[in-house]
Amino acid sequence: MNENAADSRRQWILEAYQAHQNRLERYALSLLGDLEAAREVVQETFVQLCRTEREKIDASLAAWLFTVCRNKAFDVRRKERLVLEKRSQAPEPSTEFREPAEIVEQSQSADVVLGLLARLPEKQQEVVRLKFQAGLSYAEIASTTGNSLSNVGYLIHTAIKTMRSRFAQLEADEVRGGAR
Amino acid sequence: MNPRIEEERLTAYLLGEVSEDERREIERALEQSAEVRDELAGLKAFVERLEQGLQAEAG
Repeated sequence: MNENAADSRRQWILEAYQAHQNRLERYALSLLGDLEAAREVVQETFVQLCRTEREKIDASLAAWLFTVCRNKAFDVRRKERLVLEKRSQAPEPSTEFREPAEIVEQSQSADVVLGLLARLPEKQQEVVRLKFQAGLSYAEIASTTGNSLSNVGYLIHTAIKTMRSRFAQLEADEVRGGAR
Repeated sequence: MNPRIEEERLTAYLLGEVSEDERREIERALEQSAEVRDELAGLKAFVERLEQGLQAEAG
């Protein structure tokens, strides 16, 4: 590789890092639940980028990065499977038994949608984050997760529909609570 | 028409994930039906809330 080519490659990797590192980190964090582990996985993703020919991935850089990041995160999870299994067996957080005041407080905060998101099946949470946090297209999400394009559309729609309906329920409960 | 497919297409439309033909078809439906317009407005409001929540989480 001559000097110009090496410079342009360094520039390319730097730009990829600046454009995607944050979004990859959030995504890895959502899969791993641990910031340090998420950062490590993202660093490893960029190490792999450095070893990969640009021509092979340039057209779909974001999808490539998210796919590699996802695979590495799942490797980490496989290694920590016992711990994670325990965590996933824990009962889902429920709003059923909360005090009305707590529900009101929660629904007034910006965190309410995150609570709704956390109650969805993991697959739906993942595609929602890839769409609305990472900003990937349906096609990029399909390529990252291995779902078909139509399945990605279905999962995102179903996730939004479920969250909207639970959100409306929360608001209705709030109105009833307030009228008491 | 299957209402689930229609809703799913409206979601895809809002997110810019439909073909040119579908886009025109959905925009015709939007012109003709207040119900479809209301549905899109509700969907859009929720999606904005979702995006804001996710951005806030990321800090």
